[in-house]
Amino acid sequence: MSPAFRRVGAVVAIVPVALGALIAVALTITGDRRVLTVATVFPAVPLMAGAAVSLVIVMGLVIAARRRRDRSARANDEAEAVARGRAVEREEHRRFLARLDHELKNPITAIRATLAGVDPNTAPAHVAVIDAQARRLAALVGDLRKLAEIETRPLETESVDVEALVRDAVDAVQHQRPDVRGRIRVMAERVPWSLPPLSADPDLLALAVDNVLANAAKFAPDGPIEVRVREDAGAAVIEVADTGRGIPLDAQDHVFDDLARASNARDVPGSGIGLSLVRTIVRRHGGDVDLRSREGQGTVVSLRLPVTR
Amino acid sequence: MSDERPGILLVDDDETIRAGLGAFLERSGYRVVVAADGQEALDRLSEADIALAVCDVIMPRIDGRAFVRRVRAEGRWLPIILLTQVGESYERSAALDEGADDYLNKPFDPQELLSRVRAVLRRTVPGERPLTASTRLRAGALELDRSARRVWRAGSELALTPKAVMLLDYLMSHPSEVHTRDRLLSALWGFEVATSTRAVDHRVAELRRVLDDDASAPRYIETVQSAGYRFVHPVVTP
Repeated sequence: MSPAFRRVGAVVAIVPVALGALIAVALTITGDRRVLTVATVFPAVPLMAGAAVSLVIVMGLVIAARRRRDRSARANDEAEAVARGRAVEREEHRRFLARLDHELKNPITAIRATLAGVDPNTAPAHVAVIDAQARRLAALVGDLRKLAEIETRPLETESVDVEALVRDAVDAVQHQRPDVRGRIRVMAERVPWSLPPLSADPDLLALAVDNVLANAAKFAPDGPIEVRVREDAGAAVIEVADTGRGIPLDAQDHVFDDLARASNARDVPGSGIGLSLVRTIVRRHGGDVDLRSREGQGTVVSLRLPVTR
Repeated sequence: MSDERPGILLVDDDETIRAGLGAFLERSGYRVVVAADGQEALDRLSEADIALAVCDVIMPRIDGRAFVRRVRAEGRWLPIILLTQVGESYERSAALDEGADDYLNKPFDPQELLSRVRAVLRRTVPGERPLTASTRLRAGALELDRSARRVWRAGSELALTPKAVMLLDYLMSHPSEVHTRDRLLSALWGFEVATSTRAVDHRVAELRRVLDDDASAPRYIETVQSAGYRFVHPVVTP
């Protein structure tokens, strides 16, 4: 209810009383001595008293319901505004990444081209250092572009067998990093039923799973790694659990941000783009990512993907 | 002219890039002619003896893609490598549709450009229409309509995923060359990720299944041990 509406209501409510009072005063002054006696049968008195009390209670209930409805409508509006704000923020963020990529790639191409144009036989020694750093910058630009692209590229969905995809990813990480061989175990729920196939972009989903597995392998140089595939409340859940170094509590809220790296991750090579890539991919499939971690004990990353979409 | 080195036309609106890449390509044994935009590039083409063009996409006046269209419309078949500005995959396939021979994403490794230049020059016969500038390709019973993205074998149409058609297109228009999985992934998927190239293997498996191609005795796609894939059947334009 708007304040203006409330003011008008108050005025309208007061007018009959004020008018009645005015007429009463006028009649009294003019010396009106007439008496109006209304007679009623006595049993009507409790009936009317009860009706009056009921009326008061009903009015109270109506007002309370009204207030509740207003409150929930306000909450709905707020939720909608937050969702709209988030979408706008994501779009702005994507455009920012695209601009950054666009503005960085020409200068970096120019630096690398200029260095390549220098004859290595006569080049001063520090050219190699500059080249190595330019290479790092080029890799970073490539990562940022990938992120911007994955936010927008059309999903090429197919029916995907999640367990097979996970087992493929595990094979690949074992192939690339012999140090994880024998420590990694896949546990897929089969009883009473297996996970139904998912409608998803298999290449993007594999990229997400690869990233999470690579993190586990990087930050847990020894100890078991478990990959669990199960169904939970209409979602396919892929969990990757390790007994690695874990993520400090103060960094856990930010690990999904672009370029974010926890304070205890600086000795391990990486760009800080992996988890934000994972989150983007999973959200584009209508799901979400969740992370539980204890420093010094390990980390569990869960990807939740809706089964029916 | 006594200069026997192959001529490369280098087109980019960024002067530093022209100077750096120009010096690098000269040092690698090519004669380099530069142009700052598509219009200037068209002018240079008619003056100098050019074997290949390396061309940026976003440029003032005539941009890279318009340049490719104009060159092809004039009936010139010199190979063109596009330096794509936009990382989107549709942009890449669009570049192929319009008759570019290959493309690299900026920022690229100059060495990678050199190896692309060498591969393209090895593959193309001067003056002959390259496969990459044709809309239809045929390899025996297999036929591909590149613009419609449809595939037939012995006259009946095959059902393939869009990714598989894109991969087949790339392999058929660059036959008898070994393509590494990394290169295919970055060229066709736009992923420059080291984590895995399984996506490529899966699509090759799909193609083999649908084309009824035996991996151990391939008619079309051969696995080159620890290197990548090669389209082995001769390809012609019908």
